[in-house]
Amino acid sequence: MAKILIVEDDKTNLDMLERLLTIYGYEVISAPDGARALALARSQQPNLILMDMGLPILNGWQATYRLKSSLATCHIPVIALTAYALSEDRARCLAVGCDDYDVKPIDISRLLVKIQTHLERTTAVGSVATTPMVSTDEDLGM
Amino acid sequence: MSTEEVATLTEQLQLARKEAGYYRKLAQECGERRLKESEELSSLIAQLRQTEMVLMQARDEADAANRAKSQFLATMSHELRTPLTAIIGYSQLMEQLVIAGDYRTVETDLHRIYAAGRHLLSLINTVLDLSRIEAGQLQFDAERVNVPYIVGTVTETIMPLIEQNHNTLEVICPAHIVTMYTDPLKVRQSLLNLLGNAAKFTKAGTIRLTVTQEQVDGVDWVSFAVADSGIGISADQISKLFKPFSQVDDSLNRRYDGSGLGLVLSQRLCQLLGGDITMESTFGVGSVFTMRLPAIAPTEPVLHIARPSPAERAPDEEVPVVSDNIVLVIDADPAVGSLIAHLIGPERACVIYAASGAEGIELAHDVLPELIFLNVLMPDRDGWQLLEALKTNPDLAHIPVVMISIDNQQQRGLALGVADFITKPIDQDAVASALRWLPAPTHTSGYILVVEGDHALAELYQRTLEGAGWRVVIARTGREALTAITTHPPAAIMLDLLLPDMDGVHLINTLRERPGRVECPTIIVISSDLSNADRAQVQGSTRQILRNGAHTFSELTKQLHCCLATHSSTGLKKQTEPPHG
Repeated sequence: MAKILIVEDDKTNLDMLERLLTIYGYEVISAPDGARALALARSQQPNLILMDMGLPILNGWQATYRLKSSLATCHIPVIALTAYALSEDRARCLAVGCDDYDVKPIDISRLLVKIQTHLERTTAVGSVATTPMVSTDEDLGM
Repeated sequence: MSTEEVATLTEQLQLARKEAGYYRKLAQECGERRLKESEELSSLIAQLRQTEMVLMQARDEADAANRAKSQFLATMSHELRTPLTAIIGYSQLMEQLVIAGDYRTVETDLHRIYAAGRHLLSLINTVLDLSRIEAGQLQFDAERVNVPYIVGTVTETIMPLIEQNHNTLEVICPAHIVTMYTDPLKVRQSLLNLLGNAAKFTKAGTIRLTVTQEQVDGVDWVSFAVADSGIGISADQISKLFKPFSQVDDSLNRRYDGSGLGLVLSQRLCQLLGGDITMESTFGVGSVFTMRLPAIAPTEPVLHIARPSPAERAPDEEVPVVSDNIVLVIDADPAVGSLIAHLIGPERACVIYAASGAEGIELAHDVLPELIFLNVLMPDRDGWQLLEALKTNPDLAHIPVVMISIDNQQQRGLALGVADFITKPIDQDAVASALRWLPAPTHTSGYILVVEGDHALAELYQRTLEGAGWRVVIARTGREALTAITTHPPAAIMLDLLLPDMDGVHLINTLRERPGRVECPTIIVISSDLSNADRAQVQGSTRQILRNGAHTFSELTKQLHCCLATHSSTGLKKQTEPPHG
């Protein structure tokens, strides 16, 4: 069973998302802010992270950048799930390292497709860690 | 010489004199005319200059209004989406539950949908009220208002919210106060908003409502002052308060719910009734919001037209910059954290705060910051004990700790492994010096920004570059590209000069003019010939200009490799992040 970390500060929306994903057969853990998200991602090694962006303590952009800069967590796919829905917002999320982007209000079937795609992609790669975002010279072929 | 000759000469001389006089006069007239013309011309020029100034000012105002409008729409979209997420999400969830025959949570789930719907409605009503006020369409219905009575009903309504954060409410309202003639609903709404805000931003504190009466030039005024012992607001943040949708902490790190519309609406309502709302605050101590109204409201609503100031920053520059480093400030005084954050700057590090020792240790565990500022005096635990806890933890021992104290205890600090010691009042140099403990900025990150309006072409680039091992982010417009670059600079930019919203040359120039501009190689892919002028303009900031279609993709990736290699050898040393955890 794939483990999904939901990072969301709105309790109502967290409850909704947690229960929906549980119905669809995922194991769900959650963090209410970006700092907790970093700790849980490290210690729990979820298969995928759904990241809200407007978060307390450490926002979703900074948390994602941090996750993708660390060897311990850079292999975990991060899907930005946010109410920031302008086309620039997509670019902003991808620039910090999010693997995908989806907007609120969520459409569960659309979200499930995205989750499935990224889970399949990472299992296809196997346990080989992908390169971290802050990479060594060799990573860029130098 | 004969007399005849003399006469002729004299005649000629006189004629010449006459002519000379005539020409002299002509020259003089010409000079005068020219002088007059040049005067006219300079006054024309002055007029033109003035017109130009007026036009430029009008343009700036229009730009600012336009930006404000875009910002408003973007925030509006965000605010509406949050309750909609609950409404649509719970509906989808309930559908699944009903299909499975599970009715156990139906009641609570329905209530959540209802609550989110009510929230959405109140948001929309507030926005409509605001727009009615701006359009001068909102009227009021004045009637006799008994002040103690209205204060009583308001406090009754607000009590549950006050108690929610374990606050106490003190009301000081003289029984014999002037009877007002104003709109009771609007007074009530504004007062509820002020008390509600105080309740929201104060934890386990006291909120005091003081009603006073005064007479200025024979006119009676009634003031309602709401004082709290909450987080307070610093001077530079006060101006933001009365702007739609802006919360003081609107760095997108929001700790508090709310659209930031309530206070704006309350202020507008009070202005409509001839009064105003003002505030005084001390960061970390608390705030006083004062609603001051004339006892007798004007017969016609007072219309305040809010003009956007042209000096307002463009939204683009306000986006948060993701920094490589995280600095943790452990200090009970929130002003210290914001001062340090201000001195460091968002490009250098993202600053997070902990108000207690326990919270500080927990946050340090969670985020593994690059640097910690720790105050010796903490309310819950002694700073030296905290230092020991940090230094004996194998995950945290390597993190440099800078101690903040009133007196210099350098010897003790150094013995316990303190990296630096700074004394209060904190000055810029001390913080700047402490920053030497931060790892050097990495500058390069493994993503390539492909700025390409054409979907098929963008996808082709993406596949090729991803095949060569790069992470690719596609921006379909110049605006998207600017946002991505500001948020986190890419390792390289591949740019098509023909973009749907702006021209690529303009994009390059915008990047070049930015403060703290992004240093990364740009490769231009052009779909048509570049004019010489354009070529000269972009030459300085680009590495390669490739003709679209004239190069194979393997050549493209080779160029990219080449650019990145020479770029990183120009002194931008990259660093590898040590594995965490």
